Amino acid sequence: MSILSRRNFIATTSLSLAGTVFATRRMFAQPASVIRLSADVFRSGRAADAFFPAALPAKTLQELAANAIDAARHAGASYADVRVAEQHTLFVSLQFGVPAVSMHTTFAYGVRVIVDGAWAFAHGEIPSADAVTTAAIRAVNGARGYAPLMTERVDRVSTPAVTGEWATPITVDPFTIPFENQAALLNAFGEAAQRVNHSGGGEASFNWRRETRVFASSEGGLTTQTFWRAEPKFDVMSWFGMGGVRLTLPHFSAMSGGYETVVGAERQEQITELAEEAARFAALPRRKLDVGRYPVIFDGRTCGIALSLFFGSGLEADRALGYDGDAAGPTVLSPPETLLGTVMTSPALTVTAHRGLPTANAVKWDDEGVVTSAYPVVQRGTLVNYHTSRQTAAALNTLGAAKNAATATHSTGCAYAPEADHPVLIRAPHLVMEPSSSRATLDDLCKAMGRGILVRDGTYFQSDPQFASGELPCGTPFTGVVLEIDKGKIVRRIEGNNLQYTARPFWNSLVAVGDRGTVYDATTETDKGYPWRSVIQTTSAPAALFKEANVIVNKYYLPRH
Amino acid sequence: MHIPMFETRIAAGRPVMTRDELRSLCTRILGMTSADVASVNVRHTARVITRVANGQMLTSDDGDELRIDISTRFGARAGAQIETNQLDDTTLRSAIERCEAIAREGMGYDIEILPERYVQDTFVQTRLWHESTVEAMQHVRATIVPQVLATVAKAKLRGSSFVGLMAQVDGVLSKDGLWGMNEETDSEVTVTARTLDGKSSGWAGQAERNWASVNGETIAAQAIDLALRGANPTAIEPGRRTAILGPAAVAQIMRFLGDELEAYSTDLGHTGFSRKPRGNKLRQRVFDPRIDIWSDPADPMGGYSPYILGGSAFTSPCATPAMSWIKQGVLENLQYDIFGAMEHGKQYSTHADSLHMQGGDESIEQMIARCDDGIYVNRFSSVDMLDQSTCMTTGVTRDGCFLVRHGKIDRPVKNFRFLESPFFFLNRLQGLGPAVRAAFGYTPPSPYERSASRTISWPRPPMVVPPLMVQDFNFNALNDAV
Repeated sequence: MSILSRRNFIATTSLSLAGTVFATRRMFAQPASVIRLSADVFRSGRAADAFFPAALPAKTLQELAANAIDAARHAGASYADVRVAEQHTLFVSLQFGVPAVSMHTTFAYGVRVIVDGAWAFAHGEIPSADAVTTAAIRAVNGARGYAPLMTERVDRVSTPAVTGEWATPITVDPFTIPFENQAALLNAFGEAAQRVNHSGGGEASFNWRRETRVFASSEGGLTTQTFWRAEPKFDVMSWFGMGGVRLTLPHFSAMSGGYETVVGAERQEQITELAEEAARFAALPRRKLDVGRYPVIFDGRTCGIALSLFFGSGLEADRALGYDGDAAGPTVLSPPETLLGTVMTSPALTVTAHRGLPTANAVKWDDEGVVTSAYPVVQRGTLVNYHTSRQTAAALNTLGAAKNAATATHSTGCAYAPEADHPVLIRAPHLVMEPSSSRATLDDLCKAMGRGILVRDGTYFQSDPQFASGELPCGTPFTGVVLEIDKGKIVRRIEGNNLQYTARPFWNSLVAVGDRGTVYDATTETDKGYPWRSVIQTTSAPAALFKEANVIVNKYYLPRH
Repeated sequence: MHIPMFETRIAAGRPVMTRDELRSLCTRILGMTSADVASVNVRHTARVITRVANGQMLTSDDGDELRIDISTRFGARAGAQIETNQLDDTTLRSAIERCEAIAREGMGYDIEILPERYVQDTFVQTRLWHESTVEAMQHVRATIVPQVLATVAKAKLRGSSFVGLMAQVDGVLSKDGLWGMNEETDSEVTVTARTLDGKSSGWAGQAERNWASVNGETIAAQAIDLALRGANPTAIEPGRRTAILGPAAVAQIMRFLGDELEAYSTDLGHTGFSRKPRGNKLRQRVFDPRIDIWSDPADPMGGYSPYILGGSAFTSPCATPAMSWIKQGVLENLQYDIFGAMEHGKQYSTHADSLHMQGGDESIEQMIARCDDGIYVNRFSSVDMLDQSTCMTTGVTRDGCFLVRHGKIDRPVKNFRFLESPFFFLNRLQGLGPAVRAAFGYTPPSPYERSASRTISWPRPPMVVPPLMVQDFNFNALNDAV
């Protein structure tokens, strides 16, 4: 019996491949397939598509969807919808010289029905008419069983049935780019970082996803969408003594598109600049701040993550209305009928939302066939919209929310199943925080603050299940760079502290917003449902100056015995 | 091979493959390969899940999942591994051909011989499968769910509930005849009761491998009691206070101890068990002498699979033994993965996700009775580890937080955020109650768990922990969440 040694394991590449045309769709985050290959694959002129089986024709997916709808209708469903999808993913990475490749292909479907006012859902992974029919009947039987237990019937706003096709526009298909080319690009990124003194190099990865998803409903909806998503990442590390700093390349986050999203002559220069900045931060003296309240500036990425927690997940109408009561509970932004139309934050804040291009979750129609469009969320501090679905829009109407916010009368197109076999829940779309129209660079904000704290790349937020608070640890390379500002200048790195805030007063204490040049794109993962499912949430936000955050000590020394 | 539909299997009382079906499938698959070394791992999981909130059944999430991992190797060349979820001969042959083709191309890795002692097919005897749980899959929705909701509604509260049942078989067979199999069931019921004004919330839960031990009425009654008692909470100053922590609160923090016990991280100086400047604290006292912590696949209150997958292409069964981590407060063992164990000549074991912490005999009521000034915490939520070198964790209290004064629950208080480490509070221990398997409730991966690429799914591995009374627990801020 033999086994791979740790040394060799680190030195080799892993390549995950679909073993069959329809590799398993994991219900609970199991890997679809795993094949381990040598690092030689990075010298291979072959591309991912050479390993994948041929994609299923869209017509096949549409026929399967039609089978499910027919079966549900004949079994007695008053409403049914289905998502059928085939997905290919390719992950290529180079972390401190260690290459890795993984590839998955999956097929999945999920059928949702209403019978006697009760929902039920069934899902599966077998691409046959029999299987989808069986699942649809299973859902109908389930809903019929649940109906007597319900004290409230499902109600939904009506929406026109949509039909059509849509695809993310791309220039270069990443699945046709040979591994050696992708490796060379990743390697070039790493070399650009390493040219800088004290640079610890970089971690670079490309995560590509191609999905064809068919939606059909018993109301006559039939849409076929092909999504291409790029999730490139490049982090530079800098070590100076024991204190490491990690920074992420701006505008290199999850988005819709193809290989063209990662190429570009300017990248090398951007990486070198980033590595130099990381080295400057790493060389700074470090200290623990005294406990107290300090003004704080969040850079665009940090601001975006804080924004996505409170105004993204926090404003998902199903959470606000208590439909997640057995899991995370109602958000702190409830009840919505009371909060809509009220001043929630400083007038410096305006936020809009959309699922359009080039954001990562861009679609033309959401997962219940609603046409998506941009909508306001916060207008000069006033809350004007929640993220809704057809069911929650109806619930808001029933509660009289439209009296306070005229826009809260229809679905905002946020029904989303991260995978076709996941339940359809509301997921916040891309959020855009409006930058200042007058000049306000990060330096300007620091000068305006005088003495306080600047957070760069602070993505490691802790919140609570209802998004009432935030906490950001300082001092490790993985939690962002937290800097002390004195007389408008960066003077030290802060470690051994945490920043804490209570979300609503914190956003109310927003003093100033950076200009367009401070805008970063940020990506975070959020969980929802029970069993929980994870989804990417994205934002574009400028830097922002807040009046105060609470600074506490987080570093203690272990007891001796 | 024909596997009946999910509903048919549930109705027949066997939601997943039988032992014979599993062995037969593994044998059939291995018969399709000509590789010199080959193994197959089949895992079949069925889940019946019900969620209710706002008087509506949420998207119920029933279904099953099949995972077949096939590994092949030719001579001293590479191993290759492939996965599928399809049972028909055509698909299986296609998967094996693909796997063998890649293995023949030699795009694999060098391989070393695993010493005999690491490869065993004699496992600890476990009892993780309970027929009562399987039977409950047929009727749970029509019995416990209405019962729980009616109980909460009668109390004029808003109720929501999660009821999850799981059955799983896992079998692994290698071409040289090594065979391992594990069968397990699990279940969790949680009830949240909220006052109609939404200002007070109570939660209770029970997690059991054996459904016969689950008592829905008791769970609902506990949640109702906490919600009613929690009405009109007052804000009190955060700070260091005596804390009486219910088992659900203790488990939320102790789940990070498994990462602290990793030998690799510890010897690199990254955990609370690291010795400065290097090495570890093996055989040193780290906690109060009343603390014993172990992991045991055969633990009657929890337990887990008696083998891990290792060997050629990672799919041969290697027995995993019971491990004592902390004995009378002294660090007895660290957790080595199979590579680390070979390198250091140690016993390997599975990651310590499932822990059993020895309890005491003091009830929560007795702890409250002797507490002059403290906080009773029913549950923590959103807990995360901020600093692995001290196991410093943060999170918030939730669904029941009360001020204790002069031996009694004085009044409900607003929730707190805390910042604490087991390396501190397990050295400030004032009392231990009886250990129980704690329900986790909604506990998705924390940012730390996500950054460590940990796959966290429901149900979480069993944690058996006692309620604790600890001195000077660090409640460091108020929290607005209810």
